[in-house]
Amino acid sequence: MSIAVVLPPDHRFNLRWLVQPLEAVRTWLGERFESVNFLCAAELMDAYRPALGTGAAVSQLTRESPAAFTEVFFIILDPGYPVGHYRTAPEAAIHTVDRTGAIRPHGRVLTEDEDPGMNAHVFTRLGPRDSQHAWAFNHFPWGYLYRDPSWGAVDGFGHRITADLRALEKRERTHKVVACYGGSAAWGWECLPHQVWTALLEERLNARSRSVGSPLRFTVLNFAGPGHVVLHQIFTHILHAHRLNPDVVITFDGINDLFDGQLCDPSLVGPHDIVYQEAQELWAQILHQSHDRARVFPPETDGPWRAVNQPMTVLRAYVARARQFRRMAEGMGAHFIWGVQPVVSSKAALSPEFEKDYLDRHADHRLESIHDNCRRMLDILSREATASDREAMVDHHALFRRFGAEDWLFWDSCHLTPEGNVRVADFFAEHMATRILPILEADGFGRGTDDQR
Amino acid sequence: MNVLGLSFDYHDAAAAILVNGAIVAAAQEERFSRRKHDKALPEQAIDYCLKQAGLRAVDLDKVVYYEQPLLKFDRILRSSLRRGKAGFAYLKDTAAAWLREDKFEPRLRIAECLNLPLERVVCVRHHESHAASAFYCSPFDEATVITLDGVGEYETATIGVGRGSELRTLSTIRMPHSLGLFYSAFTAYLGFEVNEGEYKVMGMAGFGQPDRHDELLRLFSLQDDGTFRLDQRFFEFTAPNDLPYTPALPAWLGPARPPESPFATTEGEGLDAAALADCRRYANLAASVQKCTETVILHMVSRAVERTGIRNVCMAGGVALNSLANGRIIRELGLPLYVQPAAGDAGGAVGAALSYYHSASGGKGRRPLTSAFLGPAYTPDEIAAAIRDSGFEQVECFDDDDALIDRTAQLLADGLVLGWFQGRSEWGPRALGCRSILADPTRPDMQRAVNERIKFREPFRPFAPATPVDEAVRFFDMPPVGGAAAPEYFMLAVHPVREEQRTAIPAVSHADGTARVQVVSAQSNPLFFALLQAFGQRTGVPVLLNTSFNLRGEPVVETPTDALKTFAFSGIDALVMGRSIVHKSFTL
Repeated sequence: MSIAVVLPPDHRFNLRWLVQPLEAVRTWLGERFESVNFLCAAELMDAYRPALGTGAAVSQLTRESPAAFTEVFFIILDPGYPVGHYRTAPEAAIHTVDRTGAIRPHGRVLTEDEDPGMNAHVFTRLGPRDSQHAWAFNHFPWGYLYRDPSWGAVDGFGHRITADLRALEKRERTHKVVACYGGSAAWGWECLPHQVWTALLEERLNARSRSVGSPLRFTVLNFAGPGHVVLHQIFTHILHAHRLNPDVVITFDGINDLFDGQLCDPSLVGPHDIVYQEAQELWAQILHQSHDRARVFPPETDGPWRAVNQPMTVLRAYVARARQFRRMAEGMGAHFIWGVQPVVSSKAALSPEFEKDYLDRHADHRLESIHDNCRRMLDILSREATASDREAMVDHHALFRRFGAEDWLFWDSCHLTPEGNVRVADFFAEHMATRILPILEADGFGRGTDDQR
Repeated sequence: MNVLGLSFDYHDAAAAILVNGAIVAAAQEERFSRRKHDKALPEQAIDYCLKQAGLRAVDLDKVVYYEQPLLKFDRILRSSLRRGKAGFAYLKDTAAAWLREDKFEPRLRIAECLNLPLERVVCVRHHESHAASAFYCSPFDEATVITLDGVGEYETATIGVGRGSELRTLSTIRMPHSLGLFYSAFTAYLGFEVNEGEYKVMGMAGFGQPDRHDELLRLFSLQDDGTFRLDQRFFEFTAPNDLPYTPALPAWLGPARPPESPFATTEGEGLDAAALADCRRYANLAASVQKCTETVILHMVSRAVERTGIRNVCMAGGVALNSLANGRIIRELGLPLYVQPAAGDAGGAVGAALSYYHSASGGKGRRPLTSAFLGPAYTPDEIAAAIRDSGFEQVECFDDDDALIDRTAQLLADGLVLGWFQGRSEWGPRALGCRSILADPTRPDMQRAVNERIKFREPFRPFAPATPVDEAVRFFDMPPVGGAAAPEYFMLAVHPVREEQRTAIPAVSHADGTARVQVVSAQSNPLFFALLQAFGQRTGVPVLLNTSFNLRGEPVVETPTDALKTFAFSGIDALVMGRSIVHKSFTL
């Protein structure tokens, strides 16, 4: 089987943009990456060399050259890339790879080889299959499922978990489980599995144990789901952690609650602290054919989106649910860490070449006010959180203030680059090392197996 | 006769409605859309104007657009063609933008939006709109009328005469000779956004010495008839690429100031010696540009008055918002001056409607515009509902205005910074005591606190004082205020703070010892007047720091909900809205 990676035919960008797509292909192919042929426009070969390494096989990209390969990866850094311009072999597997390393099938549906979880249960089996919606919201009786294998494997619930949860239920007393929750930033949107903060945290915790001679070892599980608000996190915890009894629960959230909270029905947010994705209103219209009745927020509007709920109401709803989750997790015997996620404007300055450039060119300017409000609500939370909240809180929004223009930490307004994930993992690891690990270690090696509890 | 005036498509879209010659309502679209300088067809402002007037679109006799777009494009076309290759590129981009944004025929869009026949929509020329807004809103039966802005169709400035219902143009200045664009070019050079940062240049000027005034003035050829020509070597007005100046300008004056770079002119503010020297150079240049602009304006005004023999002066156009120049016209030329409160392009909506009305009606019922409170008001129920939904828990409610004023004055005297939301919102860029942030100006630290903690803007930006009209001359070196339509009622003139009072009101005394004074009378704004008096009784200083109720980069608040949101996100201590005071008290 011959494999080609087609490099972008335009070279008006910094070579750093190539690092992530190449890392994604390397991760996807594993050892097969060694046999890759890079196809490159003749005039760009010298320019691309530093990104490929000296030993890389590079040949000239022509309209015909991809046709010689059975598997082709087109690296696409800008929308509108003309993959169809190139001839490919009829049976070849064609993939596109975007700037964040998302690898998606081109012009065909996902196969079960590519996504083994696609038939994991009835609600994935009944879910979408076409190439446009294969990564999408699936109906599920408890919230929803968002399954996207573009950056690596996901299970039947969309989680980036490869561990055997049943086996973890009866773990050794020195084997600690850390369960992590949140939305897409927590899930690791636009990062490969080994780049996500949860994987990095696991590395750090186990490395620390080795270095200090602690008998503790850690498994960090990522139960996050793109789009999740805290209520979804609570549901997920109920659904999946009931037998697992994690030793530590970490949330890494805020933006979904604060963003969606501005746009949800005021009669649910203020009085009941209930926040949902505004698209759920569309689902109700589709299910009940009630398009003649108005939704709370019509997102079709061309103008700037404006909040329908006031900031203190939205913030209070988020805080109330975060505290509820904390009480629940601590009630089940876990240590709780409330990670408040950062946004790009949490930084002292945006990196001009990457963060600012991307936002200037691609951000949806209709949402500016809503995003600004999120950042300001995070400011208020940083300032006004109670002493009790602060005991459990890792305020990444405040901590990210120390980073500036030289740090490329965000792909967009809130999703972290691999470097951003490193910072988050570092802050969580530091918090655990000072506040939680001494307790776990002093606690007679923590809790035991299910039988011993 | 019902006439709707509209300005939109460039910046500061607005609508204004006349009923039998009286301005019933006027508002900028940005207040509703919450998009600063919103240029879109002002549908929400139109809805508000019609509602306020109790009319439907079909009741409108005429809708008047504030300029002639085809003439404007003709100017762009001709000047671009003269510029050769660079001009072609500019023309291509501009034409594409005009097509994309459907700017060639705004009448069609207006007619479609209002569901009116096309013949009911007309256009007047840009500077006609400005001139009409200045003269027909003024209290004068006859006046010398001067318009000054960046550019309209072809004109950048006009000198004319207004008498009764007639407006006659005597002279025009045409592109590229533009005082407005001269100021904008230096706004960009000094690191600020054009059409937004001109006030910042004025503020920065107070920190410098006009050491290059004479050199800059030599760029102008001042003519005996009041007009001028501008040396174009340093500017690129006709086919600007990114910047309205050429490389010759930084080659002459040194590198341009990078946007958002820190600014300070005294040591100890964290800047090293080189950065400090740069800041002083920029401040001196701002002062020179400002003084040069004043010189040109004063030349234009004095020569125009000589020509017409009429001492009453009316001004409009964006340059007429230069309050330093206005102060000098009042003090140094001793001329009665009227400046329409929304003198920039938004005010074109009022002017367009007035221009049509007076030409059609023969000038029946001229009514001077003595109040800028032409925006929406909100009922006590609407205010109460917004407060209830806000999540703020500590709210004081008052049964009468006296108790409200008493408590508010005490909070201000205690050093609190208050949001102040009362009655109808203001027309024009200034908050005049209906959508204001108020503070005690006697506290030396208040300027920095409000800039940094409340409005999140540059620490050097000055704040205006508001004072009862009969107290103004006690604090400021200015002649007695001339009539209910004087520029000081609209915060449109800068005067020196009296030397002996500068320590009394340090938070509103700018670095150069001046202040943009707002006077208030019992007639112009009774509640705000009462508050100023009550504050004066407590502190001995009947002056309040008054700045617009918004955060940096946002339009002034319009609705109670906007006010509560801004309150939540800023360091404002309490919000006085209607007869309620909302305190910054909440539990998360």
